[in-house]
Amino acid sequence: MHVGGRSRLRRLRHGAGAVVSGAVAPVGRPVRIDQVIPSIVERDAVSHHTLEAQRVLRGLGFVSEIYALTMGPEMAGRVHPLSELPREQGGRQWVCYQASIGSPAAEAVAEHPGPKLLDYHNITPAELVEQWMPSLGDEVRLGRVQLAELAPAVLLGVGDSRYNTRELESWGYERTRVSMLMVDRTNFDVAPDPVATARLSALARAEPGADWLFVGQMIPHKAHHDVVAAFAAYREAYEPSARLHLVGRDSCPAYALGVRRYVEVLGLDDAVEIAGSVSAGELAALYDSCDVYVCCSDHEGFCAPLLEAMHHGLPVVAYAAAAVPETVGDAGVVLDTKAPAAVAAAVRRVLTDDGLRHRLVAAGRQRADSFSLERARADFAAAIGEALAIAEGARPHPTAEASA
Amino acid sequence: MSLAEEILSEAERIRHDGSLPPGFEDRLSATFSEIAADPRALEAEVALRSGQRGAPSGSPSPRGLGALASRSVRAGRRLATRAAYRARRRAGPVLRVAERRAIEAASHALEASSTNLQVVADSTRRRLAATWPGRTFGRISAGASVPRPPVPRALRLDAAGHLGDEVLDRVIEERVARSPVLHADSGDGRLVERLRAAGLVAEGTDPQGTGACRRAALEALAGEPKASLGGIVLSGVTDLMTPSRARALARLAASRLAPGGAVVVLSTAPSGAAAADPVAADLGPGRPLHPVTWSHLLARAGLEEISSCTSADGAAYAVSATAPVRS
Repeated sequence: MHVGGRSRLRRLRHGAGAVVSGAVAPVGRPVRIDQVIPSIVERDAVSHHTLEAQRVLRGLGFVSEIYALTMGPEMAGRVHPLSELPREQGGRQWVCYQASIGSPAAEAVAEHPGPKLLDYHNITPAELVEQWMPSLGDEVRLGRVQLAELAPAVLLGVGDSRYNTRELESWGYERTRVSMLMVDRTNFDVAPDPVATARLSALARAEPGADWLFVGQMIPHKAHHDVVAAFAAYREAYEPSARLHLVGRDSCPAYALGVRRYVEVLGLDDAVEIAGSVSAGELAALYDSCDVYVCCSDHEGFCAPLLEAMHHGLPVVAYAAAAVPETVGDAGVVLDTKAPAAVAAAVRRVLTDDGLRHRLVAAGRQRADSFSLERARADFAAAIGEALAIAEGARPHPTAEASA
Repeated sequence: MSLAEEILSEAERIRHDGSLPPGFEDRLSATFSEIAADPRALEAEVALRSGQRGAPSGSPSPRGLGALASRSVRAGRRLATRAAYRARRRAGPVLRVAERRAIEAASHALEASSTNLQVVADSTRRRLAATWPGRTFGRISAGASVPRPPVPRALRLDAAGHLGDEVLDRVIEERVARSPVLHADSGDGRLVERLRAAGLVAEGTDPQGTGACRRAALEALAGEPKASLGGIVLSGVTDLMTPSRARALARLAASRLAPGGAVVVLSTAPSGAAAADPVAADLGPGRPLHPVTWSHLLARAGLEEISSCTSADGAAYAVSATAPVRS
């Protein structure tokens, strides 16, 4: 064996350096627009977006299938293995890459002979994860390299926030467009689990106090530890009987253990509930029962849980990282610092200032409504329309103009 | 005053009016920094907890680390229990031999299937230490941090794509720290260049995968004076091994290592080779060995501190060992 010859990373790196196929020059209207996604599973915002995008594409009259490198068992029959991605020459077959991580799937997109679209959901910066997950650090770093290399071959780069499209532009994407994440908010309207509701009510009755909520995978850049620190400051300064509920699967077991250890060391075992992954009904019960949603995440390309919190009428206090200010708008308290005292003071203000809280709840619901699925679908359809216009030569690509 | 300014003003108030004890926020930050200072130790603890819980076989865990360690611990326990049962049925000196073999087998099973986290149950470690004084089996116990020698960072292979697996990188980084180093089957020599960049004196032989050249690589190793090398990296030559050739190579490497020097065997996993080309795997002149086999051979050749790890995708592994330092 030559050193590292068969390693996964090497394959990934090969992907980064692969020859990128597919013309950007005017190519005409396609017959089919397929989507490629590294991984597709249930209860994942990008996965749902991809399924919605398929509906939109089919609605526009295109043949459209989804091809994934890995998929959850529930996707069988709806998604095809990436190895089956058709590669017909002639430009009548397009491919849309749903990007959120470095992956060999980018290699398949790069080598696809047809025109390409990129739908970018952002990639976590390596420096936020590599201390805890060195291999993930490599993957996300690679993801940025792969997307930068795809830039010359992509007709249109779509991002679900302006923050995302700015990043695409920094890599050389000359045509970009913001298109909202397609989130079916009817999925948020699940009946609260009665057992969970009863449990939370009993807790509140036993010891009245504010309930904080944060929803996100236990992964370093979500910064659960900062929420815990702010919560500790809040209890110390204002309300010793407050409780914190952290919901989300352990995607980085070492970090999750670190957060648990932190909670123990701070003596907050009885006040902080680390619920892990919960059912939709249990989550709905938490949204209904909690008093404030607190997000100290260091990086979010969109942050669907913020939308869900606003949908449920939960006031939001959030740290202004990445696309968070865009998602929250003026419907929450967005802080430029996540110093524990500042976050604690913000939560206190939201919970004690009735006028502010009512305004935030109303604005939050309005904000959530503005991300309606209908509007997001129309956005995506408009993005496809713009790409078609580019392809049909109505708006030739700048590089094509330059070479003419 | 804007809402943000009012909030920041309130934060200042609770910092200074005694609502928060002096230095409270600094202590919060320092506490988590201390916990987060060694993520590898937390990983080891997660792995051990996972093993102790006895998760169902094949149950997935994030990144597979927990399941891997769980399997290794279960495998070790099975072997130890089986051997202890056999040992109890015997008497006198036979019992000691059987126990020793059981413990060695358990240790090898643990090491072969774990990642770079050499998780060894404390009880097993104590028995090992009592049975074979002066030898070490695995280096990390639950929750302990991994001591890493101060090897230059340049040794980690990066953009060139060689090694290309963080786990295998770390084996080289940890174990190969002395000059001179010989890399048998060095390919295009980039690893050798990296070793040199790290301040080591390194040479490579370049078999290009042919049988004749592979022999040349081994001849180059045989041509080195005994106990002269600080490090040996074996790759490529290890992909097609017959039992006798493997035993000879382990003995040869052990004999050429200076005291304290390290050998690292990098090889394709047998399952990966069989999946990639079953015909070659069945009919070829040799085959890749399991990591436990290399552990066994290196131990039989008198080397110590044997550890092994697999790449993230399970397709490759590294087994490393150190020549004993006799005082």
